[in-house]
Amino acid sequence: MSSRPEVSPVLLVQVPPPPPRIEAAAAPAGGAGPGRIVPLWKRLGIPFWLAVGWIVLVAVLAITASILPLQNPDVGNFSALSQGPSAAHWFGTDDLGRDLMSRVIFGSRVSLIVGFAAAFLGTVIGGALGIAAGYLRSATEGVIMLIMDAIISFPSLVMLIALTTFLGKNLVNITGAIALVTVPVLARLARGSTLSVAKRPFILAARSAGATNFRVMWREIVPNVLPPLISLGLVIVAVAIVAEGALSFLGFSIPPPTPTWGNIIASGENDLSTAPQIVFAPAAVMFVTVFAFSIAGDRLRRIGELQSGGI
Amino acid sequence: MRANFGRRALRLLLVLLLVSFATFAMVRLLPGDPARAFLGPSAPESAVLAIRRQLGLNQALPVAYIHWLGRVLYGNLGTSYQTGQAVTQALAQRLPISAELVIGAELVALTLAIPLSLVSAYRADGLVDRSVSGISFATIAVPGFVLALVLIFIFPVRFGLLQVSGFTYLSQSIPGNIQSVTLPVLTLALPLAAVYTRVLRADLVEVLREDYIAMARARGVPTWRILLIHAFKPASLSLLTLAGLNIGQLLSGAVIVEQIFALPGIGSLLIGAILAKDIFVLQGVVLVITVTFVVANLLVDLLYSLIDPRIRRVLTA
Amino acid sequence: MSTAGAERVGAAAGNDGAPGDRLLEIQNLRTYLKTSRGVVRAVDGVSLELRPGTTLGLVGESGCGKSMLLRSILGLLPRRSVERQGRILFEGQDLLSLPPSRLRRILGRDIGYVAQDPMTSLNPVLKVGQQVGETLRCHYGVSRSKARAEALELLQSVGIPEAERRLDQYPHQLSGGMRQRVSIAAALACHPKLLLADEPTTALDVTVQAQVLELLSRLARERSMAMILVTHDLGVVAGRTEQIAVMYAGQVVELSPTSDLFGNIQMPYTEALFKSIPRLSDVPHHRLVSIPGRPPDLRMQPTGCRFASRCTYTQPQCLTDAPALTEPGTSGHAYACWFPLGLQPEDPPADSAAPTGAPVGPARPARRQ
Repeated sequence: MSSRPEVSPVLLVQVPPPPPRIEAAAAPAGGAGPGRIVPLWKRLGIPFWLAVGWIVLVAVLAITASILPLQNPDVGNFSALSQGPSAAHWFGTDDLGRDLMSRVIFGSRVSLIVGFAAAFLGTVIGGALGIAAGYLRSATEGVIMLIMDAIISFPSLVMLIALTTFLGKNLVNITGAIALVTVPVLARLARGSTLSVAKRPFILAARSAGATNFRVMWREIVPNVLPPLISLGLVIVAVAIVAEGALSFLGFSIPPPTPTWGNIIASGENDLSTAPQIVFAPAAVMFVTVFAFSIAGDRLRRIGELQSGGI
Repeated sequence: MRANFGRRALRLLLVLLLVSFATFAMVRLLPGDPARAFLGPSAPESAVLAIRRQLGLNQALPVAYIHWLGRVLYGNLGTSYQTGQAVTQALAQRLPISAELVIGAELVALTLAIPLSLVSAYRADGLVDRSVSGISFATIAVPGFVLALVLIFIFPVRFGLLQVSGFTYLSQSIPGNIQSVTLPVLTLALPLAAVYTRVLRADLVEVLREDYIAMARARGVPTWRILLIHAFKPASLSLLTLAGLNIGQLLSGAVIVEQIFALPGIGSLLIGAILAKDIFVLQGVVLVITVTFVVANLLVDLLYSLIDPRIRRVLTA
Repeated sequence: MSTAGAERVGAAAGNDGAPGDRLLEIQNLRTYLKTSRGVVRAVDGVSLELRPGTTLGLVGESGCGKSMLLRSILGLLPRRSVERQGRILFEGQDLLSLPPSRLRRILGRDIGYVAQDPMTSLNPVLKVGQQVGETLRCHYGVSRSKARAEALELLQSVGIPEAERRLDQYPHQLSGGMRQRVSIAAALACHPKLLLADEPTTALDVTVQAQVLELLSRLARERSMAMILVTHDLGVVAGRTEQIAVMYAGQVVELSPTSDLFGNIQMPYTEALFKSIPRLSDVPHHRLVSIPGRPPDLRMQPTGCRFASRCTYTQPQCLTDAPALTEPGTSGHAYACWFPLGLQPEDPPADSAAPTGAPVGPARPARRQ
């Protein structure tokens, strides 16, 4: 019926719905001559590159954590329990005297792996289902979208907790569960884009030239649907990181002693008054990371909308 | 309109069935035997069998599901095998608290979001607009459980405000209850307000560019009236959708908040039920959340046509 | 719609009125839009006068600045990107320097505005009666029921059948012509002294256009209301105005009492507009006359006459010096042209003057809904 804004099913995080075509129409209509060509990297703007810089930094630290001169994240120093930030411990220590910076960096591994993997899986599956639904229409579309609706209506946190509890709290299950929850949002977007692409003449041309359905979807539709899907995918990485964090915080993700942002935060919950750094060190890093993914995704989406001839 | 609405309702009913069946199947098909886990490894086989029978685990999955469904139609959601309490009773105890959180969060979020977006949109790209937009974007990126801890840190820990021990029911004491729910409600409301502000502001900016707004200004209609009456109504459709759809998700999001603030809502009931595979309790909670979601969806559709007369025409056509 | 023949010659003839009897006086108005691609001089030094109860026709092609002129008067342009200079005196008050709150008290009460497209100029989610009555409620604070009663009367006066029922309908339930009548009713609610009508019939069906124009003329006459009627069609203003101002590229290029203009067109652009009116006397399948080329880019600062590049009579002087709007006689007929037509035959055979360029005519086809 009407275009409803998409709401991410995961926990408290909503995918910010596209603020429709603000920038493009802002200038009073004054002759549509060819604009100056600004390189893409410049149009993305400073916030985008700051966000990307942060993501790269966190990723590099996570990958190289074991060869970095960090203190052992699992071994506590009993002479330095619950200390605030200092030269020796930049983020301070936790209640067992473990170095928080080291724990946060090691903890980022789980968040990033789950975030990227779940978003990737969700994008691939959701994209495929959405394209199939939007291109094949009829019964295929009906069944796929009904299932998507069911997943969206299913309380997502319940599904996540149940799946990880019953199947076991390991990376694969957690990633799979979060991916499952994100699929409908991505599928809806993919379906929507497919519907608008499929009306364009080159699709008709390809079909009348005898291309198979699969070939049309793969060669003609996927390249057109991919850009919006990828920008939403980036936002979904943020959503997945939050979801993992929440699961972890509640004790339904990778259990301690393996550090995750969520379980570090949970471990500091009771020491909030005496050692707030245990909560706020991982929380701050997590916030900036989530923020970075949202900014990057949002920026890409806007650029994409402007390029695809948003009025 | 009736036909269209009927189709939607039917589809949502189908969704409801799918969801409840999925819950059933999930508990049944995923590994782990609840009866054995509950009774411990040394319990006699007969006791285990009794619980298995009570949970319908001795029946084939579709049969068990149909049985459950049949009872639900008569308002019987089953009993918890752990506590022996009827699920309807457990829900009746705990749902009001979760509902209070959700409704409170929606109200607070709308109270914050509507004036903020009106001010932002009136001077789009002005200082206020930019700050509001930046703050709301950042707020959205704060995970709910982190926000809860930030609020706890600021209010009770730092300033000794709103310290809470135990939960005070609304029926016991209104001020006490407000004290109990303020921080949980804020935790849910702030990110929500941020999302609402972004959506409503964007729609308002678009509407304010319409011809009919210029016409109203040309008739000397005062600014407040243009914003509140001419622009707000047509711009409120997306907000309405979000607010409606969020009710279901908020109920599910309330689980975390209830956990952190130790509120006796459906959250702890739910987590307990999942851990113990207490299938009827789990089904009951999921059912409540999904039904809320579905009903909210339908209500949004109805409200849509009330706000925008053009949709009424589309639906009747 | 045929040629000259002003119906109300008398009203416009006496041009020697006292200076005090001007309702609206625009002095050297410049409206510049700042865009990312340069400054658009949408209105570039326009001066006009309007006496109470008279009608001025403002004619020109699309993009010549007519609508911008109206919107400048009403202050409807975005403050940040638009610069307005000059003076717009309404009953002696300069609308340009009036604070917004004072301006708001004049808009709707003393000045009414009817926009081009009734599809977009009425709020889709408010009832017709509400929108018509709102003007009254905002300016006179009348009660809801009083406003409703007045709205009913207004709807009847603009010729809406079943007005009672229409009050509670939404704009989308009305036809284009009806909606435009509603717009007019809303604009007239407070009995304004001046009505600004911006191509009020362009978006309507051809059959409805004449009715709406007739309605406007009748209402203006009955209420002795002054009116600026903007159109791209000289034929529309021929019988309905006392004065005609022809605009081109943001400037007034010919200004004349209607009674004098049609027999005595001076400016080649006006002539071109005039010739592009289809006539009943034309032979069937006769090719419509159009003005070659396009209006100039309003971002450029041209030297010479702005119409020179499209004018059939261009001389070297036209390309170097800009002619000013001057009134050689005392008839009130002013024009901006170095080589006015003056002695040209009134209606030369269209074919000889019709160039074979791309037909970019000013007469846009009426939009159908």
